[in-house]
Amino acid sequence: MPLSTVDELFADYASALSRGERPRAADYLDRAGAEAAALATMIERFLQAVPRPAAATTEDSALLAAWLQQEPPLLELRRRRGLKRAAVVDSLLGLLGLAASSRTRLADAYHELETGQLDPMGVDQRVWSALTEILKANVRDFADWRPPPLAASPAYRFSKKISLGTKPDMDQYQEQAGDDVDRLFRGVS
Amino acid sequence: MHDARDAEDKRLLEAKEHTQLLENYVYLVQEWAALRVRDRQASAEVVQRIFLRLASELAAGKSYSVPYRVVVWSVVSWTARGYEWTAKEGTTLPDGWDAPAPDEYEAWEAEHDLGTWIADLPDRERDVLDLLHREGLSPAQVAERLGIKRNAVDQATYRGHRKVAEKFRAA
Repeated sequence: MPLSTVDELFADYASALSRGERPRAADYLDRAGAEAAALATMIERFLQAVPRPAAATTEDSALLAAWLQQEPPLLELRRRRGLKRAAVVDSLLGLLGLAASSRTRLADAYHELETGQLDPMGVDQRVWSALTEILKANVRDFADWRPPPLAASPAYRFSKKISLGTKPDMDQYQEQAGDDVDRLFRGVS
Repeated sequence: MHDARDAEDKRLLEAKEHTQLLENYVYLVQEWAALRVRDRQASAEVVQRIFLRLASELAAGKSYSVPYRVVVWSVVSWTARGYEWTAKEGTTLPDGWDAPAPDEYEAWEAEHDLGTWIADLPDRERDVLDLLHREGLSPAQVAERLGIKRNAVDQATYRGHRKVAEKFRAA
């Protein structure tokens, strides 16, 4: 990619920011191809050099606030939409084409997902699509925000090996392997 | 160029409005993490670790000798470092860390102020970028302030940013 194109991508990004938009650097880096690293350095330098954008009352901010207060973002998002959990489960049942007999298991799985007890990596794309439709937001983004550990105190220490969430107890579900709900929520085939 | 935002952060720090202070940085931290850590899931994890760290330090009453944005950037930089492919085990922000000392910070600040990078741009481009970024005016407000057409603001914005890109690339 010619350097001039990297400059153009940078100018597009910076100009969008100056118009009050919230461009996503990742999208621009994807477009930069082999020059992504150079573009990343330029955007990073720019973001350090300009005053931070004015605080926007974005949903991200509200969900961060909930997360910092130990509230799972997905739960906060549902509350903000004024939806009962049962209503979400009913909608999921229909959108995922599950049998009515799966409703209880689906409700359990959704509860675990919503409260951060389920590993988002094992959740099928069809579930994310359905939830995006039901909750009118890119739910996958928020699902990565697992509940912070209760020890998020000054004593908090970083360790790459420690998961922020609780891994599901897979033994509990072994006997139900092959079930549609397990396949959709726990990556069990 | 950062004065107004720094003053707002200082007020929020003094008023202990920590959540509001952190909310102001959601977008920036997400962007910085995405720039440093290209993997989407790892980037999300970095963002969470950064906010956990910042929140815990605020809760502990830690005070800083530099503007809060520098603190945030330092935490971003340290945290992301642990996710780079060359990262060594144990790469992490020390508990007793401190932001740059005043003289070190001054040198850093000079390089991290858009005012430095736009100082020698043509008047129109410099004025437009200054009003957009320093004063946070909208393009329409900039047009009104400078008595020019909105289209001229857009052109000057794009041209100015192209020139800043060249400077960043050459630096």
